[in-house]
Amino acid sequence: MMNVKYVRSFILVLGVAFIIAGVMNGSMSAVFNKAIRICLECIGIG
Amino acid sequence: MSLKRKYIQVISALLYNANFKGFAEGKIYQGKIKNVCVPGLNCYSCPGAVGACPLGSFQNAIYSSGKTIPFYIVGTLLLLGVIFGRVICGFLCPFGLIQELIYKIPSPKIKKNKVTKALSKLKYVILVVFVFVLSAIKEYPAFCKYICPAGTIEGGIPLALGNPSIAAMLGTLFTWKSIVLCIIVIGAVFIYRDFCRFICPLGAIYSFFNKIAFMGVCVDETKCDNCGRCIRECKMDVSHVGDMECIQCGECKAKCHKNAIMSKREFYKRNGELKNEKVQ
Amino acid sequence: MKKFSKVAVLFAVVCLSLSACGNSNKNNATDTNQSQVEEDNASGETGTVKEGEAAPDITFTLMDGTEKKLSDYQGKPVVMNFWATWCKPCVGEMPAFEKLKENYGEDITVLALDCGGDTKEAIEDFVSENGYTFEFAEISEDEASKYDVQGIPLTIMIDADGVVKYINMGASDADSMYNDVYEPAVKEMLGNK
Repeated sequence: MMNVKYVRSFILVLGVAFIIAGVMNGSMSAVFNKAIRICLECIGIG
Repeated sequence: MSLKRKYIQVISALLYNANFKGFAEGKIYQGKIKNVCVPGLNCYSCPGAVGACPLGSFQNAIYSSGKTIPFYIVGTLLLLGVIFGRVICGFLCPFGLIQELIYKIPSPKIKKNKVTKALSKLKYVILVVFVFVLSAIKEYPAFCKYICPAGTIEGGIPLALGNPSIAAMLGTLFTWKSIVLCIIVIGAVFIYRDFCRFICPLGAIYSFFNKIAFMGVCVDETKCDNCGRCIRECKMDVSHVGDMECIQCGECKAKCHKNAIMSKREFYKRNGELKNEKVQ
Repeated sequence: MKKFSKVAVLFAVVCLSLSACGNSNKNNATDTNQSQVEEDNASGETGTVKEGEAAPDITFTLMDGTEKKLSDYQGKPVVMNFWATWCKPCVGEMPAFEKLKENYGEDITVLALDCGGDTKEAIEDFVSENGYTFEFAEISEDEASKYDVQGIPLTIMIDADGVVKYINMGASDADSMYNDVYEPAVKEMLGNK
């Protein structure tokens, strides 16, 4: 049985680190670019 | 009090879709806030949506990251998962709210059973097949395209109503998605949160975090007498309070005759960290 | 309630800081006199751009680095397509533009503007892999917003005088798009010169 306290803190830090890395490497822009265009497939057209 | 939970559900649904004028104009919001994913299922093609959908963004990352490692969406899911777990499902998902409201329609209800328990595994199959495999192979968001009812009801229908050029484009795919939406919506009258339990891949993703998340519901083992009432009366297909099927709604708290169920935060306050927490 | 408020405030702070880091898009940068313009039929409008009105001038960067304006191409009809490499219908219909270039290239300009945040390398790779010969360019979100690109692919057909003749959003396969939409529109623009 893993020590939950350490796993959750680790994942918290990892999540934040990944988000920061994502802002820097352009993967956040990638999310933005797709979110601002109507996803024709999503709404049942594509 | 479940009224507080409803209140939070409604407020978050309104916040995620604060771009009200989008509905009138038949246009989507294209501003900066769409850099951020909302925690719950909310189509970014909804005219009101001010944030990105985490599930749609995740599928996009699977097929179109190219050489860019999708740190941002993965980090977002990790962070949301570890902080909230399926509290998102219980409190912060508009489509969860929609299903709960539909369930209030008076009708005979289909109670959970071995079949629904088995069906609750289906969402993991859908996660693998549609979100991962099909999206990677076909290079489009496969769950969004073929299944997601949130996209149909929040995106397709309002856009088609407000935008004649989009209405002109509707074809067979829209018919299929409307059928899927109808089945889910009608099903939700008889089956509590049918989409959440059997289909939603986002709930499937957050379920992996449920036990380790900071927030959520837990059982004080020293007080629990294993009567099983909480599990019996829970409308989700849980085996234990706070397991992967638990949407952390907290309605079991009032059902426990030993006051053994409480929020994790309350548990820590009373007992110090993790001493008696049931972690299976 | 206290716990929720704390979480809500934290969430709002995170969102605001993230969106401060991120891209932006100016909505509806130029508003035309919409009250005076009649509502056209079905695929008539895209926000601030309407069929029958002057095409807003925009700036974009060609693959060789030259900055160009749409007005530089006035004098010949322009077929202007907003697209991105990650948009499957966009990629699927591209051969239709190549065919337009082949058949009408002397008399029209075919222009593909990548508004999806693709890197120059990604666009160049795409062009060379497919052997397309028409003009490709990158366009910023601010510039693209002048056409209120709600969805892609978005194709704007502009006549020789710089007036928007036809707007089309979405695409089926290249052949249907060519036969049913693009070629008829081009023929009409050339026939009416």
